[in-house]
Amino acid sequence: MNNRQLHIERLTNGFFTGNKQVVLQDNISASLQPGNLVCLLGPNGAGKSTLMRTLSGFQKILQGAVLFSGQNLDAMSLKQRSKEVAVVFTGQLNDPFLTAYEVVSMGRFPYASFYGRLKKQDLHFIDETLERLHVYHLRDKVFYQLSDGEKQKMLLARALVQDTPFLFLDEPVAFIDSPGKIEIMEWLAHFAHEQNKGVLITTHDIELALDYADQLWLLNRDKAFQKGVPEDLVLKGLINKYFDREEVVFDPQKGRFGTDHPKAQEVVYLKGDQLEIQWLCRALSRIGKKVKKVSLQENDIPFYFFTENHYTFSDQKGNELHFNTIGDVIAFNNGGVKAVGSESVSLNDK
Amino acid sequence: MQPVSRHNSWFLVFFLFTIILFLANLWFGSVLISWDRVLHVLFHSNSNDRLAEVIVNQYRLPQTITALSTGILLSLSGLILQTLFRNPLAGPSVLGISSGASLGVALVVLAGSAFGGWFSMTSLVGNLSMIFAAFAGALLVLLVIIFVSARIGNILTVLIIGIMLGYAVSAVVGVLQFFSGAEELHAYVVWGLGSFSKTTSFQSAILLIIALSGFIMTMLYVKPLNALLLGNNYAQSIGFHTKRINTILILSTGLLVSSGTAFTGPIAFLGLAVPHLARGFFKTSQHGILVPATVLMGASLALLCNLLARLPGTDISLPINAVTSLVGAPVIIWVIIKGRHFKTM
Repeated sequence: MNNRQLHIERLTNGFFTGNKQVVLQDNISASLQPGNLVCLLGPNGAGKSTLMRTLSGFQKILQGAVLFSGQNLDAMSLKQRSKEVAVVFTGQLNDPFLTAYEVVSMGRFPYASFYGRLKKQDLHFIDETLERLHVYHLRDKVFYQLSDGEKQKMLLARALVQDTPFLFLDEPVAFIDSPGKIEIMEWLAHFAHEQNKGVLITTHDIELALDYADQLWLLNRDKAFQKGVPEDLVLKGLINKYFDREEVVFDPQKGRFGTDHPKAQEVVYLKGDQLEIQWLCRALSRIGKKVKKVSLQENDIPFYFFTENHYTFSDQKGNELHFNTIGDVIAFNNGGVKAVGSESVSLNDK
Repeated sequence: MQPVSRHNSWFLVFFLFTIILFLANLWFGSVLISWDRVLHVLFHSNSNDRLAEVIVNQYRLPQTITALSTGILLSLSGLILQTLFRNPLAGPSVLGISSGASLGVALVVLAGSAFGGWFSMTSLVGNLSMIFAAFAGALLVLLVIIFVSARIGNILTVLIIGIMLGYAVSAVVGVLQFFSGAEELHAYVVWGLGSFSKTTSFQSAILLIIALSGFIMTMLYVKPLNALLLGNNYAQSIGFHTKRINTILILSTGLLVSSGTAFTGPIAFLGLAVPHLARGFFKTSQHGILVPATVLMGASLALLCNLLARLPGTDISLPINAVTSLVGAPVIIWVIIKGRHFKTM
């Protein structure tokens, strides 16, 4: 079992247009181990999908080699490939009558009879997979009428019933709502860790990738291929190097992207560590304040704190303003004065 | 109702429909022949009812079998091409094959007059040479398509090249028409209107064999056709050699359409519409159901059109293309508006 892995050896990533060869990256070497979830990251046009297509055998290898469990991809028959790797690709399936069940069951075609008939254990496996992904009740619906999230789960089920050691998914969480993204990433991690599959996905959601990937592969048109554990790549500054733009940068403290507000000059202090203060911090930095968190004992002014269900602002002169919601705080800051209705803002003149 | 039993009842309905229409085609015509005479002639080789024997065995039977076979092979081709190109508007005419057949016929019929009348339309040789010319023209276009599709992986490109070839060929036919004499032009136009009645018994038997082998061949490709519904990439990823399958299927539909068109002239509408009708009635995209459904519906619709074209009770008969289009267009519009197709197109 220990040679069940995907080896990429000095691969040239690129494609042919007509007779011209377009090379995106040279010399990619990496391996995908069973039990690992690897996220392939890179900006648009970096060649993620091209690499996925090459690894799946959908396009010619320009140079180098791809080995599945020691076997060269080029030398494998399509039948052999279909039992090594299952794929989920982007693109629409608009057939007006094809049901979700029909789509999923085609994942068992490599094991089916000449006429496409499935054995009892195949049908059982399909039902089991649908149940595990909580989509069993949707199996008789027409595929294209499902929501994007449901479609993605069905395509994932289709790939799973193919029962391969490797799973390749191109953008599995694009067009899916946030809880749905987490759900799918949890499953992918589960299939990698519990069922010992080698899972490779591409995504634009770097923050999600940092949370779930066992390894990241970084692609960029002008930079060398990089791979490593997400945390190491962050600490080495590689996430910044590969993804930062002029205005948008990756903040290693927060583990997410944000803008560097160049105009943020006015400093305000936040006292306390309640949830409300943390979200107030986000709101104030969004409108261009330089926010610093301090403990309740410090004397820095002006400052905000939160008690008894309201936000209190205290300025240099010792005046205090009270707000019921963060919305009121923002309105106050934007209007310069107590622009909000008198109920929510009351000067400290009691 | 369970889908399986619903499918079975539709199969039964269309099977009976085909048989009834087949018999009706033998019965109705400009000459009134009673039921028992038709049946007697059909099942007794030596009868002394000469009139009925000539009319039924030499005219109506070959025509009916031709209609049935053409209906089957055009509809099957339409189904395969729609799946192959994943395009609801694909049909036998899109690959340029009918245009190729037209070019062949135009060259034989029209160029004859353009280059000095060496060819006589009325002879038996004339009829045969038209069949060969149509077949050769269709095959020529088909070979170009196969050559292109073997080289270019993208199936849509093949579709576009087929349509463009069709235009180019039509232009050549147009030039030939412009320079040809009135009589030849008329002969060509009549061929272009399509007809199920120009075949001999032997030719109609050949057509029937071709149609049935097309049916068997398609049934052998049910699994890859289903896989192709997911697109080339998914089909490949579950072990299908899509390039080879595409080439084989284009070649066989090409042969089906070429032979059909050679004997009957281009028949409009059937190949495009019948697969849609089959999907509409059977509410599935599974080829295991769709292929036999398309065969039965294609056969019965072609027989129905042939019957209507003869305008039972009168001496005139309409060109079959006019009937297929007049019957077919409203039906397909109804199916599209009523069915789910509407939302995806």
